[in-house]
Amino acid sequence: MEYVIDAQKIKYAYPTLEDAEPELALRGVTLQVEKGEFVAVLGHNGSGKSTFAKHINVLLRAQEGTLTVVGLDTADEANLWTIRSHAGMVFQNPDNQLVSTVVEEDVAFGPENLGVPQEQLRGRVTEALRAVGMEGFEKRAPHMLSGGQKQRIAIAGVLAMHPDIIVFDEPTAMLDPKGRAEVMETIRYLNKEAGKTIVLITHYMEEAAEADRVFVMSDGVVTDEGTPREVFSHKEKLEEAGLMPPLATQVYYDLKEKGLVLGKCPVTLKELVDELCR
Amino acid sequence: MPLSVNDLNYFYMTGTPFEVQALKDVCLTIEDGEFVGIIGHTGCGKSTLIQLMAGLLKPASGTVLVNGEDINASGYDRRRLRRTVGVVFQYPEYQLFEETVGKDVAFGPVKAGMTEQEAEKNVDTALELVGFEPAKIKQLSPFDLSGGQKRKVAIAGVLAMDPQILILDEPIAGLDPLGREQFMQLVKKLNDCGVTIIMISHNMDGLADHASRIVAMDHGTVYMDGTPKEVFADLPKLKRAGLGASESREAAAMLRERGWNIPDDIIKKDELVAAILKRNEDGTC
Repeated sequence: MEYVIDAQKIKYAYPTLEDAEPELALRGVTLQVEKGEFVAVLGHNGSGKSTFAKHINVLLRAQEGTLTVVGLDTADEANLWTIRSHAGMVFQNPDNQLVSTVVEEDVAFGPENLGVPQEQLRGRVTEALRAVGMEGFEKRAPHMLSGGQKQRIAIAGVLAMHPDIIVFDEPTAMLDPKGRAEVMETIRYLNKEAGKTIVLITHYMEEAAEADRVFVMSDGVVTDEGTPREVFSHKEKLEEAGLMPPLATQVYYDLKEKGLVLGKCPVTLKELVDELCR
Repeated sequence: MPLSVNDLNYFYMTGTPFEVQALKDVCLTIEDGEFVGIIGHTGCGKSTLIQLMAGLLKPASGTVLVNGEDINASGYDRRRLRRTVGVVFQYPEYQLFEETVGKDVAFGPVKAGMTEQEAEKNVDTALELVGFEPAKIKQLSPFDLSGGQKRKVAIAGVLAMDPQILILDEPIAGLDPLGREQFMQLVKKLNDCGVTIIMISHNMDGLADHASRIVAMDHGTVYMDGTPKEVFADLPKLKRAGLGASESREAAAMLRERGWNIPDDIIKKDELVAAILKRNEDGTC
């Protein structure tokens, strides 16, 4: 099996001032992602999930353990730029990621800095904007767009660098319901149609329910992993990690407690409704 | 202390080709002790509305009345307004700046004219309200706290002013599920103590559970206004404005589409579970 992300017991502590005892943000994270997979990482605030995400494109470097991305060791300084061209990252706040006052220039910023020849840039920008459903916005000003649109421009900026892996760190946290739906639709497309490997860090269980596999992090380690259905049915483990299953799963358990047992444990509203109408 | 806005209009970038009308003839009265959730997609005018309510923007036309007094009239005591109407912005943890938690929380009340002793007492009460032991946390640097703790400290800074009306702009964005629920419980507790709550949120489930009233905004106007049950009942209307309802309401609507005779006023999980069980027993919801 080909792992595009292979983390083995990685540890990381943020630098502290003076002689204060450093506290480990990652206490030995082991996590593997296959090529083309869509994985979600869940965890409470401060569980280490964003710290882990920043290791994938070497914004942070593991102090112990090993991490390879597309087969390249992140500990080797020489691999830095190659890894970053393979693994792109999208953050929570679109306003912090947009650098230009014109959409097409913003999308071209990444590939231009990677040294992509001028004649190829136009094509990359067009292709990236098409993939996120924002063609026709080339000449617009990013700050005049809605949150969901801005976030899709940020995603296009990453796509134009032709990464194999895209790491999303809570990309919908600041968006309204429509913006969230737009961004999730884009993520789905990038995984299913464009074949990108997706790592989605999220607090929304409904979003994690769409992933192939889910990892749960708590206090700097992975405490559970499996398909969404497996992970969400481990009710106690979830609670220990400070999380709650999605509504559909909660309803399933509440019904079970009252003596009504459904055929299988649903993780989305659609599955719940299908089970009830069976 | 009721708050009302009357025929409120507001424009951005006035006099430029980009001029947009953010609010159009908005009228709204919020009574004492209400818990009002304001929903609406990006750009609908909800943040502009609360900034006008708090006196941070001046309307192009129309009035904002707090306890019957026009807050934009000349001679109105704006300092008193700051104590009456507290505002918690998005990501309030970025507003922390002092050396210690105690100083940070005391900053507002001292600036608002409270004596040191008065402020000290309010700081302790506010920190307790958000769930801290004042003696333990006051000496710590706010920058050594976790994100969720920082947010609570920032909110304590607003509560220390002892506001009668608390305005919150998307206060739970970026919190984990447990953090969201704890935060909603805190807001509910303040509301139970008599504080009027006006809260912008995209979290329909939290509002379904706790708000007493929901105002939906669209294109700078009040689009819907009613109890959570009333507003969430009309799902097609919400969808037309790019909005949705609580998940339980969405599930009930999906069941109805599949032929279940399930009522339109199910908005909470417990209501959904009860209706499913009832149908299972006697075939009706």
